[in-house]
Amino acid sequence: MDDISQPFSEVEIIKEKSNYLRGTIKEGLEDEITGGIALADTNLIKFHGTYQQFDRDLESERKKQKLEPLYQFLIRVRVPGGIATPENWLAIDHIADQYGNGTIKLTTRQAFQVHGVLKRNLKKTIQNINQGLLDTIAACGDVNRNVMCNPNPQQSPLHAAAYETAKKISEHLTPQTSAYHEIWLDKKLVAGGKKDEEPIYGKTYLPRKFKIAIAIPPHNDTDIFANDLGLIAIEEKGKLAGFNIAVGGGMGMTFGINTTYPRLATIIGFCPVDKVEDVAEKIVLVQRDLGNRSDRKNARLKYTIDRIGIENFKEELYARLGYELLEARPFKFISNGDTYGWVNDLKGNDHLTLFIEGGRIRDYDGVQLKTALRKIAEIHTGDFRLTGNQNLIISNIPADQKKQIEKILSEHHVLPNKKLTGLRLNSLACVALNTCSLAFAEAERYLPKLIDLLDKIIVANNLEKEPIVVRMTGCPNGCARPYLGEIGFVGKSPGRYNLYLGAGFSGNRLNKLYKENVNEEEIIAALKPVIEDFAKSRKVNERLGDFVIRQGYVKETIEGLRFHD
Amino acid sequence: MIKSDKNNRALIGHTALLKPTKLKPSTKLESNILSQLRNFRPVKHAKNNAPLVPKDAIPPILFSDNQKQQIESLVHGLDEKQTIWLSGYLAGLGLSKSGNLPLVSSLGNGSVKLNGHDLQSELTVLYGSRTGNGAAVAKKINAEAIAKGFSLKLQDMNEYPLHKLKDEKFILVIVSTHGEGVPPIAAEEFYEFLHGKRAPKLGDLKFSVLALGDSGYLHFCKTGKDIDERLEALGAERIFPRIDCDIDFVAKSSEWIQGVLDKYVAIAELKPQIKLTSHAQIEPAQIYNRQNPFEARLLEKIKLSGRGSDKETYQVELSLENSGITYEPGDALGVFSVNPQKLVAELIEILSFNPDEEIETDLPKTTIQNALTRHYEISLLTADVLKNYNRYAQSKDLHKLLSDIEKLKDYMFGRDIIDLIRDYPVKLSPAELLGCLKKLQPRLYSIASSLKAYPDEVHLTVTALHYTNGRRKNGICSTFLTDYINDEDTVLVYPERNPEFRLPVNPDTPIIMVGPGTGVAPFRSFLQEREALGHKGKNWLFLGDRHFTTNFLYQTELQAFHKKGLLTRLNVAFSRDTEQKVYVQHKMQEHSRELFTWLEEGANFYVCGDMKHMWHDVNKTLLEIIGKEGGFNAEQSEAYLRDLKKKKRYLVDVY
Repeated sequence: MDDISQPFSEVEIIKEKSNYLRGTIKEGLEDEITGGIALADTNLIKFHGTYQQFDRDLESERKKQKLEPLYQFLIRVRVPGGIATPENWLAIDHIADQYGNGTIKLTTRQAFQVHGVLKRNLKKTIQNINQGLLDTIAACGDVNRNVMCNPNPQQSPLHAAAYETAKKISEHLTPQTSAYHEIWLDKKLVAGGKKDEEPIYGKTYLPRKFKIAIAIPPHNDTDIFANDLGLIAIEEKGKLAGFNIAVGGGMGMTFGINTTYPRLATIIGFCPVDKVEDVAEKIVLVQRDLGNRSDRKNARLKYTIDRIGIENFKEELYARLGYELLEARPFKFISNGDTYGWVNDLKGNDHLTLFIEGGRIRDYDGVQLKTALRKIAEIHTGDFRLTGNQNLIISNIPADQKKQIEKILSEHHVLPNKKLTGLRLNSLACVALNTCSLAFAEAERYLPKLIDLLDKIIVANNLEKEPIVVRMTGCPNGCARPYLGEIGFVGKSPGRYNLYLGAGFSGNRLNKLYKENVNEEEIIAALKPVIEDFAKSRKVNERLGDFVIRQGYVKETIEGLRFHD
Repeated sequence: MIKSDKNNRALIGHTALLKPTKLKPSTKLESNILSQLRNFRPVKHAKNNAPLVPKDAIPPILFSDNQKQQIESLVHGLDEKQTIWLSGYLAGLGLSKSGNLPLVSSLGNGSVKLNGHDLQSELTVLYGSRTGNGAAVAKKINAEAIAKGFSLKLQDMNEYPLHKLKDEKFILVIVSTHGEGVPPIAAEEFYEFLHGKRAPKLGDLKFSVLALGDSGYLHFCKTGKDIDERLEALGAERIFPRIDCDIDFVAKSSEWIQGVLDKYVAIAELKPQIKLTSHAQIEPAQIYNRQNPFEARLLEKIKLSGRGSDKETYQVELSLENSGITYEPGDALGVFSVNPQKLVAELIEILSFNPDEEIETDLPKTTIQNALTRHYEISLLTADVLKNYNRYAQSKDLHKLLSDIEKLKDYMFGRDIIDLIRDYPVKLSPAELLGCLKKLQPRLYSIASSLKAYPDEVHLTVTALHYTNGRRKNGICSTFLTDYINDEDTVLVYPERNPEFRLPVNPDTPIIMVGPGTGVAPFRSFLQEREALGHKGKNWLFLGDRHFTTNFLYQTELQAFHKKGLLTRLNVAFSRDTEQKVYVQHKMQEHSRELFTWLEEGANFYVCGDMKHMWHDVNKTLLEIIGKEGGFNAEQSEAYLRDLKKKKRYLVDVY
């Protein structure tokens, strides 16, 4: 397949020369004539958890005004397993107001994002995040990212054990460079102290980002098959026995280049709990050494595996492990969504899962969501849990506090929820315009309006309660995992999307292109007959994603390599 | 002779004389507003506004002193043959500039190339795309050209000086199409320029277009197609047919590269014909001055302040085409404003005039409406106007007010003639009203452009002044330029020399420029000029304003100068971004050692902008720096500064 003997890509050279991710970031922060930093450094700051962006709504206008783009930074805050304390919450809430655009984005990978931070505030912001006992290192970049884990403690007695695993792997795979502390936290290197070293990653880190997620069946709310490494928790006699190992998942692709494609992770075996850290590390090492470093579009683990073959990959892995994985254990996933509302657990604590549209925490249209959550954080004794579906769980509420929290939510018009359809409750959207530099089209700002229109069809066909997974991204890189949507929209140009249908309801099958480059009117025209047909001809409990394949609207996607067929 | 102009400008030591009473700030609020006027200054009645008297045969109207010197030194010592050749060369050059003759010879590296052609300078590759594919193709074509034995110029459209297009001989355009058939941001200005009213005739241009696109979109390669058609419509000759590339552009772009380069080599090898005329007809130029202003067409009005700014700053670009007007960096432009229609109509209405009534004054006969619009000041009050008015109104209150200067100033601030009539009503005839009013005065603005960078154009930097005192008011001339003139409108202007604020004659002399707010204007002109002349002296600019994100005037231009190395240092101060206000003088302090070193190296020090606060602070800081870094006491520092002034190395243009 692809030739990896080509010269290294520019980013590889930048990493190599960066002195363990330092580059000229420090100098760039002090350059007073621009709100941006040097181009090479924009690659490096990702490893520190921040992206340089600019307000694309104003791009053309400012250029005419002889002003540079309105540069601003997105800061992604790592929250391993998605669990944040009330103190963490208050810190982020304050930072968003003080330095960001006044909103918090809950990401599809259980992280916080603060948007709109200007360069002159960047260092202070990162310092404040660290003071709030969170950090941003390796939240982005060619390293292992935030390790996801099922955040619903009440759903499985295995949760605590799985969460510990997530934290351990996350810590084990965190970069060791002192650049982060040096640049952002003013920590001086001890005189004559030890030199930087990256025992796992080496000087050039990984060829591309690396994502790990843990799911606890029957819930696949972390969409583990979309990850480079997916871990499926296996229970034995009420305890966590180990994990099925799935490798080579990933969403991103590039329009027009059919050698790029989304791929679901392949299950290659089972490993006991005490070996999982070792297995994760060795998989990272295989990818570090065999991944494509000349073409970033073909650099994720999924392409490495399809290039060398899954059997060769296993052989390479086993050689490094010195042992083989066991045979994968049986498991069953039933959905990849969240369950909303109040749940009471065995210990008597209450948990409330809130639907957060687009994952955006803000005060809007009379709903003072952000204010309400701040007030709750001020009195809350439990924690906040970020789900992989951009939603929020106010977790571990003692029985005597439930009333108080309900009162705050209703006073700020957050509860009771308006009646939302199953379509909206299962929707995901990435940030896209106006800040993401990759976006071709709107996503988070537009999906709610599109769902308003689709809801009319849903209601007319009595499908209000039917959960339908709908996902929209502004580009094909896949942040909101659009190829796992029973209905998926991927932006092509302003106002136009590729429409995909037929993903599996539990994140177990990719969808397939149904209509190309369609605008709003064409989207409605395309989906209306499908939904009507679904209401009329579906089998009992049949999901929309399965129905559209049975009815022949789209062909089933069996594997990533055949996504474009 | 030059001295006659001196009194016209707000120079050190003369400034007090130059502020007409009506603009003297008397309250804190007023002084705040006046400090916002920045680049706005009233004209003093010049006793002597006559043009410079010629010393010899070089016509004074056409050339500045500087240029005259250059011409004299150029022709000095030439023999007959050389002189005749040069006259022909210059005539040909002139005709080619006017678009009548292709420029077939060029002066490069001090040598004249009459025959043959300069392969290096004639082929320009202009690329514009979002993804970098355009740049990649451009690099490839460069490599191919080098392989064929010549080099070419690669130019990102984003940074292309559009006025150069008319001088190009061969261009190769590589451009992508974005979204729904629109140009990528990098190509927007080029695209609009070609399709706009400034698009030049391109009869001498040869070109070919490579369009990049994605057939998955509607309007495949539309930008490339449009540019291709438009270049032809403007008279350019297509030397190779356009090729449209899909996502996989490599094969087709290679085909295009081979095609255009082969074609170019074939054409370029034809020996160009040299058509030089031995004499040229030069139309006698009209002299434009304050008495006879030129009607300049508005080319463009660009808002320089970003969205969300609490004040509005504009660049106003005017055409000097066919006027023969020249100016030097540092000069100002006199602008005659016109009173807003709304204000005139309101005044006519409250006095129940017939707008079409013809009236006799010292002006040619005209209607009252026209007189109030074009010739009389109606938006500012002065003590004289109040006195004149009270001859009719006979108000005791007004009489009392006139005898108390402080109260009078308070009253006049922010009030206009309509307020006066409402406060002290009296029935007036049109002639009586005009008898009370002052004539509308032109305003001077520092010129923000260099003719060498923008031939036939003049640019101004203007902050619009809006304030409220009773009714909503506007600064007359600033808002005239920023709010009232549009598109095809014209403005009456004349050049105003400022010989005391000039670039150093020595091209190697370093300069330090301090120009916060619209005070940056002349320094933009300085930098353009020094770039065009290839002056090697170091340049250091301090500028400042309120907010970094919205008030960094000329940010991208200055960044580009900085990147090229022309602007050796650039320091900026934004006062309202931080808790502690930061001004230009703080930035000077921050770099005091370096600044003093520059002075010791012979740098000129320039200040332009607000007189009252900024200049005071900058002057004080400069003295402190001289003392601190030079190890001088206060007296010695003063002497150092005096010496700079005496040697014309400390030059000030404040108002």
